[in-house]
Amino acid sequence: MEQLAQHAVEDPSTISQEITDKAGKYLIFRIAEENYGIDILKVQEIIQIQDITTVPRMPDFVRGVLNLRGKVIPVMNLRKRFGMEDIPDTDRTSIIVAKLASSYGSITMGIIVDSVSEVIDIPVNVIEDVPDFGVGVDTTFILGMGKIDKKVIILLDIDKILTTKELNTISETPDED
Amino acid sequence: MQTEALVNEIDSLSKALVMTDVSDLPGLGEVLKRLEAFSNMRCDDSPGIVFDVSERSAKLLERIILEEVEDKEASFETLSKAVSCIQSIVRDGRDPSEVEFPPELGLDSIAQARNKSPDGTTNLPPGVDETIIDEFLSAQEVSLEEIEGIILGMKDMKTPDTLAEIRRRLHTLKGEAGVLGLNDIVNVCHVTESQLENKDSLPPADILLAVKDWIYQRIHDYASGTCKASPAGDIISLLSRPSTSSESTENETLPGDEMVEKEETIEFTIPEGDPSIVGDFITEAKEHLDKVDIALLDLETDSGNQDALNDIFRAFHTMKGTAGFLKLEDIKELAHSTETLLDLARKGVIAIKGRISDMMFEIVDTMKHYLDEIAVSLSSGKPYVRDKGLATLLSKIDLIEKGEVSAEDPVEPSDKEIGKILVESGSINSEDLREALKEQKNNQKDKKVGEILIEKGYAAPVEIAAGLRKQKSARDNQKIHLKDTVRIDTSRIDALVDTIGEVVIAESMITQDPDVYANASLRVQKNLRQLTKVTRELQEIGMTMRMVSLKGIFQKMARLVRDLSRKSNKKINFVIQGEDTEIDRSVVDKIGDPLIHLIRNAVDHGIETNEIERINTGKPAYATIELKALHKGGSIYIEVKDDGRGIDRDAVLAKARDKGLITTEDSLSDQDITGLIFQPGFSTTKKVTDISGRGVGLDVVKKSIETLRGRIEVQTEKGKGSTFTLVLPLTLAIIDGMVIKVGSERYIIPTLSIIESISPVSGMLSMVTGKGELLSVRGELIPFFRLSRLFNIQGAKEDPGEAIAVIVESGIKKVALMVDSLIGQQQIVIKGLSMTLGKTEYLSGAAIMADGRVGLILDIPGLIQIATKMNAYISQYSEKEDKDGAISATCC
Repeated sequence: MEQLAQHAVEDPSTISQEITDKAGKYLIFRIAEENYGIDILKVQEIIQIQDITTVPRMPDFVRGVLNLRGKVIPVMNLRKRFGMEDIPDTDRTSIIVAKLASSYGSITMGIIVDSVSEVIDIPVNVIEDVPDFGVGVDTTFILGMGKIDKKVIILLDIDKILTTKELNTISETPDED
Repeated sequence: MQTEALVNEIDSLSKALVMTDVSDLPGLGEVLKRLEAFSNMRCDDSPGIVFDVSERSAKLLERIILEEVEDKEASFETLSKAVSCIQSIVRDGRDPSEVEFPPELGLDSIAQARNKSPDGTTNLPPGVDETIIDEFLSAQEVSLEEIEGIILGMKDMKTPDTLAEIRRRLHTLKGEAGVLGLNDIVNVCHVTESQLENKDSLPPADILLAVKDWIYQRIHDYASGTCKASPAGDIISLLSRPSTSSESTENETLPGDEMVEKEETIEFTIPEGDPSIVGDFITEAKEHLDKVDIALLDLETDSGNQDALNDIFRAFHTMKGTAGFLKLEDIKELAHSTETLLDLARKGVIAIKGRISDMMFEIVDTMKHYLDEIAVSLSSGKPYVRDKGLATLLSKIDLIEKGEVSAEDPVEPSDKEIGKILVESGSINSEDLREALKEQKNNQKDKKVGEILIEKGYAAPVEIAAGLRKQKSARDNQKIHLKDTVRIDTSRIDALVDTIGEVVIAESMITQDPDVYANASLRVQKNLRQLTKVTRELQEIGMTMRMVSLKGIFQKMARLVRDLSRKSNKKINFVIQGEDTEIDRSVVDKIGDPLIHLIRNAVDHGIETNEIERINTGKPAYATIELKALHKGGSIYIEVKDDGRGIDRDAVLAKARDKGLITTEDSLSDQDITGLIFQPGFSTTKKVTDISGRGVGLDVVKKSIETLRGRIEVQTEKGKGSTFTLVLPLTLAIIDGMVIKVGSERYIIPTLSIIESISPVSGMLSMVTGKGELLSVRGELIPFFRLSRLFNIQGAKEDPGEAIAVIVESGIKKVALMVDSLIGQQQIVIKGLSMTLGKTEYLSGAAIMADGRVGLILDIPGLIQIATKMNAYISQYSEKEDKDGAISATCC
């Protein structure tokens, strides 16, 4: 045990590990002309937009629940989550089914995005830290910015995009109407 | 390296000890210092017991120094023995179980609890795979429940059948625990077993139950790493306390028993030579015997298993050889006899099953016992006394070898005897049977009872044959039953049931699809109907897979009543009915606590304090508590009925007024009053309990039943008794649901919660400021909520006159929910809602509807809660909202 601990301290790669962790394959999708990327390892599948049952008394970024081959999974509207205007679903509107780590263990969740474009490899050298937007801009769910072919890709930390704590506080407040 | 330090420490400790004597105080001080230093080195490298011993030794030495002990010399002797024990474990690496610690140290409790580590937790013995332990634990839990059932059902302790059954089960348990190295359990089982064997020292049922409880607790300790069970020593001393009945009864269970009662005590000293060789032999022989135990268990299920048989043979052969070389006569003789017996089995002359199998287990135990004895005499230097029981055992083996005992002997006590069957069927009377048995024992040992019966003309051959067939079929049934069960991971069953649910949904999506049906030819339609039928069957099978009988839990209750009645000194007759009723496994797991509560209430408060009170009111002295389970309309009813005092309604009512639970002059129905006792406020008030005799924790009962989607009903009559009925769904996975529509949304309301649905007519609705809308149904005012407003659904009906009011209840609260329309009643397969949605207390789950979409199931208690909260919210802002007219437009 002691030996192990010592070993961990001596390991020089621990600090840079965080940055290299961010590099890898990302699924790129678009919301309102912006490119976003999420770690491909978190993505279970991509499905077409389908019938979603609205869950009452939920915050507006929770679109509802859908039947994924017998499993009931919640679906989040990323536009609403980012505080953008909602648009009607189009042919290109997709649901990314992702596995998120949470305090309850792994959760499967659908994420509605405008369109899904491609999977690209983002190497370490093009990833930049999140710029400081100043007070009031929540950047906890942004891992970093990737620059590929002059395009800026916002890399999302999907695990932090929706915390249960946040949801609990939202559903506890009384409805305004 | 730790071990090295320990060895160094113990070596210098023993040197210091040798150099001093009792009168040398500074020397003793030095030893004490070293002992304490050693105790402080407690680590995982050496068994905890050595540190326990050193701690005890240090304490003893302290008392020697302070002159608190009577015999200083003797205590000092004990001390040096203890140190040499520690030395032999730490330095020579011997197993603590082989080392005999000086008993003067009071180590019994420690020695028994070897597997307990000092911080009050229980650790598994090293080298044991946790999954194996888990399997053992879950299997033994069942077995223990069965043992308890047998003990409870045992009216006459001396029935050989039941005793043999308990012994067999304990033996299996012992064997398995031994394999896993759970030594304390093995010890307790062993002692109990030997107590049961001896007819003179049959422990009373109470003690047997205590033993069962202890084993159960200990197994749990192993499973969870806790340490709640008392030390094994306690339970063993409880067992070995002499039993009151000393009269030996006539013994006719085993033919060998009557042969030998010769007293034979031969002093036998361990032969000279290297004691360490003997020690090695003991270790080795124990390993062999453990293997034999396992092989015997294999043979139990498959008596033709040649591999197992050969294993056993080899083990005994090896032991015989070494024992002969070491001049361990007892072991040699026993091994020799056993070998001869096994040889017969290998040749197929006899089969190791039934009684012969029991005999084999007995041999193994005796062997182990001898080994222990030899180990004791090795370390203590006392002469080893040859066991007088050996001759008995040898003669029994001899009998089998001569073919005079057959495994399938019809008089075998553990099976139902042919004679008994015949007596029961009326073919012969018991007098004739006894005579035939006597005849068989005395003169015609190779003949079967049936033959003798025919010979003597007591019964016709046809009758005997019929009896034999009966016997055979009973045995066959037993066999099939044994083979039939397969232990499956519950998660797999859950997955299967889930998938079956999917199939059912997929099937209805296809068969109910208008496109398919409209275009289908007759042939397709026929096939579709077939598909529907098969799917329904599949669904039913799937449901039964999760079903278990209530037997186990009912037995627990029997035990509870027994214990409680002893404690409270009340005479209670406990009646169980319908324990074979099956219910979903998850429900069984959760109704234990509520049932315990209800039973306890019935005994503590329901039944009158003393018999005189009962007799004065014209009741029998013995109170009756009935526990009944039955199927009724797709639900399981579990009734707890007592014939005690019943609930005093007036007292309940008075208390409720007092507590402000009801308004003063409310007219309450009987149901409402009994509902009051489930209020949380009632549970804490002792005063009410005294008056009404009810109310402890009933709110807890109600809550847990409600989480099972069940409900609880009470019928009571003052002075006559009460009946609590739990109405539970057959399964948690499927509920009956009413599908309703509000705007474009569909929801499911559990049918159990629905009282009725009505179309409100003009004048039924009224608005009460601060309380929201009220619906008047036959004079009763019920809060009225519009689901569309609670859930903010657009496009729902606004006029209550066109809508439907579904009246639902939760506890004593009733509310009406306004919905657009009722779609219909359905069986709903429940799916959990993801945790990501956060607190959705108004939804109890989701279901996949026939069209493949998700339907949400409303949770009525949660819904009522948010509705009430919202009403308060609305009333707060009612003035502001008044102008939009939505709230005040109440009458239709």
